[in-house]
Amino acid sequence: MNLPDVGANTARKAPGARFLSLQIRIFLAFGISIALLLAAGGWAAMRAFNATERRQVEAQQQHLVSLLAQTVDATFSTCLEALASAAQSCPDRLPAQGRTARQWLEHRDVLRALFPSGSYLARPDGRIVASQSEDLPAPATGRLEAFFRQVAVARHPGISRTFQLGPGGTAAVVMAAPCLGPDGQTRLILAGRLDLAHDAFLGALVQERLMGGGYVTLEDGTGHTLLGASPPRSTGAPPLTTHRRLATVPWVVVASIPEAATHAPILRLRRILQASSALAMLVALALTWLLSHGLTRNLEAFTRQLEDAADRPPGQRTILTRAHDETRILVDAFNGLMTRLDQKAATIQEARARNDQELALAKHVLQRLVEPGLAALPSHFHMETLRTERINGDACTYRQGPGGLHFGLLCDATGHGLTAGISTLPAIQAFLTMARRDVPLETIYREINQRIHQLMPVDRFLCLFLIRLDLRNGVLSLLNAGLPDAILSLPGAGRRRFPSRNLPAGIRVGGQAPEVETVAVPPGSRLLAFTDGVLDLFPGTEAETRLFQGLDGAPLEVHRDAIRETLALAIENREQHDDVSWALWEVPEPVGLTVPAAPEASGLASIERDESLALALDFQPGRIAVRDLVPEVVRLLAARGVSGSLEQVLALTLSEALHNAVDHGVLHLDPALKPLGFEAYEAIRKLHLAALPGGSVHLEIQLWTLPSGPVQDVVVTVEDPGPGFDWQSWEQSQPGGAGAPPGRGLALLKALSRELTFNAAGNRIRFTLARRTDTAG
Amino acid sequence: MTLLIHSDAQPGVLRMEGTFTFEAHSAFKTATAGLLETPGLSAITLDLSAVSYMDSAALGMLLLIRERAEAKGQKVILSRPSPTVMTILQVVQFGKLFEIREG
Repeated sequence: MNLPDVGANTARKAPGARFLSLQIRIFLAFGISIALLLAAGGWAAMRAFNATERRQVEAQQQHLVSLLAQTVDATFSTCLEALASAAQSCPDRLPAQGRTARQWLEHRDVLRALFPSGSYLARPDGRIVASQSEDLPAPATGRLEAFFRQVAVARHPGISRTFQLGPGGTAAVVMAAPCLGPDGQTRLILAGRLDLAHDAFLGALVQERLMGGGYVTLEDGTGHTLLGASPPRSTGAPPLTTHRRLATVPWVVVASIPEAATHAPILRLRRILQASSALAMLVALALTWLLSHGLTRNLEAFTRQLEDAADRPPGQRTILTRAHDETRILVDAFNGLMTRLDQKAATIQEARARNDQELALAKHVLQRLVEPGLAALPSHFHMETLRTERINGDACTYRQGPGGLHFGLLCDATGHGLTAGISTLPAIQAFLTMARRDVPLETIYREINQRIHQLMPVDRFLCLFLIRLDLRNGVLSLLNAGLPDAILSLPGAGRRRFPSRNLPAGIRVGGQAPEVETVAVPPGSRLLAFTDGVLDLFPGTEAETRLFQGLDGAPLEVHRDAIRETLALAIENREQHDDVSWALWEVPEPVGLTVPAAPEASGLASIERDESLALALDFQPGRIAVRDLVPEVVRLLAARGVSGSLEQVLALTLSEALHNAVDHGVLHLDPALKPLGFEAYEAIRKLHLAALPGGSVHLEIQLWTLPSGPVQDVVVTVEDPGPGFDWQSWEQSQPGGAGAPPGRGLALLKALSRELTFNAAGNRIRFTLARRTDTAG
Repeated sequence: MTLLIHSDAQPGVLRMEGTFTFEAHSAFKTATAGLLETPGLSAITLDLSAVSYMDSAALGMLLLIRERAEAKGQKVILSRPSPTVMTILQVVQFGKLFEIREG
């Protein structure tokens, strides 16, 4: 047995590509996770850096504020000292010496006297070079110049010495002062308007680059810019603090920190962090890629071997792996499964081989059974079975009977394979044996029914079609048991269908008598019968249309070939189909018919020909067989005008009556033997016949004829030397006893005869056959 | 297509649907086993209205259920067979064995 290659019809994708996809998915899963972790770490680090940066900026700003505070404070103190010094020039108008600057300032009138309002431009040496006030008296000018000189030069030499007193009536000094860094270098120049009347340093103008990038401004508490307005503050520079130490007015020092310088270390750290993060991410991704490849490598190798395993023979499908992870568990499980599968496959292969052998045997036996018959088919008959690869229960065969009789069998057993083949064997055997002896179709059917019923389970049955064609008299008898309608084409009279009127054989023994249809068939009549495989191909009435094709009158060979071609074409177009058996029989012209020679008359004890249309004879069963005697008797009576259906019925009833007389009256066979089967019964019968010392059966036949016409009635009397039987009980059991031998044959006689009587002992039977008026001939 | 067997709301009725072939053997046996053991059930009705096709193996299954049902004193009724199934039943003369109720 070849296991089906399940992969052969599937487009295979390279395992590498599929596992690359898996690897990519693993990579993405891990990679995204790692990237998210790194991003979260980077974000946290950046927050930490930002906090550090903010702290650094704040520290620097605090330092600047402190520096500013010191500078402004010193400048203010200088101004006050200058004021005090200037006040020395007019001691008469000032309080006692030693007062504080603030106390000095409380005497605004003195200050106004000392410093008349106006705007003054003084040089660094204190000399006023321009003013926008009224003309100053010389003392006032001297005081101012002394003040300016003292403020500008005493504390901050080398710095701007341009001063300006603020406009308006407020006594103020516009001043500038440098802010020095810890290293002694100038960081900024602070300028301000010192409101002497209010002891306030209001500020005026400051513009100095701070550390090469930023600016410092002073604002009052309302946000109004006091010092420095240009250029604007850098974005994000926060107000630093209120300089309480100035005390006079709320001061706000705003520092614009040079970001580039201030943030440089942070930026460096940030760049390092970013680079490190990117590098870590790349390394992580590379490791993830390698890890995912490692994870899928074993699985990929396993799959590759697995796909190749289907092409390897059983026993060589073991998968190898070096893995020690879950893949090994998978491989071990697979190898165990494959071992069991191989064992199962071997078992199945053996079973299938045996089954094939048995099928071949069944097919051989079947062919041996049916082929001789089919080989002997006359040219005007055709029968064949179109089989599938296996036996599906279809069979057909042919047998020539005595006296120009032809028998055909089509059968289809339930199921498929060997069981179906087995079902057909007993049926064919019984048919061939019984047809040879011209056993009536009802009896053949009963025998087959009995055998199938005995041999096969209840769900197995056999649909069959029996044909008996009497060419000499042009009578066709048909028994359809479970097969599709047979179709008879009658020349000039259309077609007639013969549907199934009987249960398939093997279902039920006894019960209703089999139904046989008999019809006169003139030459040229053509019978088409088939099994249900044809209905699978052509449902309903399509079968008749497709198989006849209007060829009723065409030569048989043409019709036969057309049917063959039609069926072959239909089967070719179907993936699965049942067996198809079919028969095409044509009634030929009577010319050339051969009638078997009459049996030798040596077995006849005596033959008396009654010129008044009657005959009587005694015959010895040991010397002449009923099957040979009946055709001879019928032939004699046919010459006397017994013809047509009457002749058929006479042959059938005569055969039944004589067989009963011989079997039970002469051979003393027990009717209970019949259920053993026809073959067994025949074997026992032969033994009894061979051992028969003597004994004869008496037969009388009287013919009743109209003055001008055929024979109307035939009266048959058969008497045997036996003890007889209880015919009264048999009659009381009718019709239910029809299925129980010997009642079966008697029931047939009763059914076919107009009258049936027995003598008291039951060893003589008399029956009358009447011509049927509804049957031709 | 395989055979689907549904238990009808009406006791003792099996509604069958699909193709009734040998492949349905196990399902049919299982479905009918319960009905055969149902006490007091006098008839098993097989609703064949939705069965599109049946083969000889299915006919054999009908014979089996019939035999088992008769042993239990039950009868088997074939109900509303589809036209295709009815043709098959007529060909094999199952009307002589079963009560066939045409819908």
